Amino acid sequence: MSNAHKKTIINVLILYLTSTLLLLGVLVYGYYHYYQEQEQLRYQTNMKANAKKLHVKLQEIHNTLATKASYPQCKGVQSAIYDRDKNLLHSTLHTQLSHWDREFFQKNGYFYLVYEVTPYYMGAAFIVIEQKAPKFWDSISTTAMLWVVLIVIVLLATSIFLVKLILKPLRDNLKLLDQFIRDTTHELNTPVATILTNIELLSRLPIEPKVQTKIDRIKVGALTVSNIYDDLVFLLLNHQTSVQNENLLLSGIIFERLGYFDILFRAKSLRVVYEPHNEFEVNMDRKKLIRLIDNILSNAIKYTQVATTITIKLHNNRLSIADEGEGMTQEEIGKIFERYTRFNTSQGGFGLGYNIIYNIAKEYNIAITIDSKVGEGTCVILDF
Amino acid sequence: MRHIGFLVILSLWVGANNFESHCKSCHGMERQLHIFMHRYTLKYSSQERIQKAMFEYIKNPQASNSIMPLGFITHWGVKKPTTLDDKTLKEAIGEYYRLYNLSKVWE
Repeated sequence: MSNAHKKTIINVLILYLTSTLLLLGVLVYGYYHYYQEQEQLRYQTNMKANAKKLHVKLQEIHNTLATKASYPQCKGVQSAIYDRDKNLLHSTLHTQLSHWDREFFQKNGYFYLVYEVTPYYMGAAFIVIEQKAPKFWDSISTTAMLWVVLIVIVLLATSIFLVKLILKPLRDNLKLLDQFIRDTTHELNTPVATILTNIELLSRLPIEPKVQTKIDRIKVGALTVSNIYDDLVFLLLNHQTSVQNENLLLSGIIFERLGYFDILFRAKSLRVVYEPHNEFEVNMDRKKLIRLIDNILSNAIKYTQVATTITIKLHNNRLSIADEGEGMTQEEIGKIFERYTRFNTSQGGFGLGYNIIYNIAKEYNIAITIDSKVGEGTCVILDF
Repeated sequence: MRHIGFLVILSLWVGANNFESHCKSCHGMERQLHIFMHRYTLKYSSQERIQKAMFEYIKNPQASNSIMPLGFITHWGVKKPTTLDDKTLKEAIGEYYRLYNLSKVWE
């Protein structure tokens, strides 16, 4: 499964799960409030019954004209009686209430019910009943959590199945395309190598200048195709080629690549200024270093004007390759490392070069700076 | 502090004296005093309202502001208005409430 596929599946999963969990959250929240209201109503009814019982007992005590009596109590229920001016007459409450504005309320973990009565037996105009409030969430949380976990598992399985089902045709097409490019690339290797080998052999023979020019043109074409081939192989293998890091003399490699591109420089009448100020070794895979330098050089050759200068400087651990080409805007520089990005369709290419540069630089922690001005040229700076 | 304590005791003694001499001399039966307090409490509930209702009734006794049953009023009628001054009457009522209020019932 490719990275793009994984990313798509993860994105769809996140979207699907987030929206579903949000919906579930709303449902659980609604259910919790419904349950809480029902439970409170049950408590309220029960407490009102206790208040009525207490009123009856107060009536009995009042009517006996008793001078001494025990305050009537119900099991598990605390109560208080207040007169018409809300002065406390007697209380067994945990918290003393000085005022209230609702018939039923919760305070300090207790429910309170205020029951107004007449006539005022024993002076009581208000009977307040207190009962410990349960933690509703505790009673439903385990069940709710089990349901949520179960639903999430089912959703996860369903969404993975659905995403795979939807992406199957796309995945098949991409596989086909990958296979096609792989086969084509493989088929390109032999003819390009043959052309380049034969051109090398021809260059050793005495050839007329006119014929030599034609051979040079063939070599330029073959080198371009060879470069594209190397890029495609690099991408097709997803950078997972066997890495053999070694200490490489950067100035030497650059010199070698300048020789490789020599015919392309000559084809565009480019002047190359190479200023290696010092010897500098890098610990890299040779093939990857070559791809890095080749892509910068081939971009410089491709986008610079005819008969201009390409300046290559190597100073301390900094390599800069500057051309005198069209240059880029800041917006274009921001997008340059995206794969298949091309700003000038008049030149050939797939828009892979800078993406390859970016990936190799990222792998070896090389800082890239693109310094470019429209109409003046571009300078690619690599800090190793 | 000593002076304040003395004044409190003096006022209680004066109130008690007023209640004893002006009320209890006629309504001497304990049960009768309890019945009155129970009836006033049943109708008026709070100390402030009870004392106010007692004061108004004693100053101006009417069938409409009496706490006694209609049959009792019809048979016996209402008492004559008091001749006591307001201060003395309020002190006597205060003492009566202090001694007979129903909050004292709870053990």
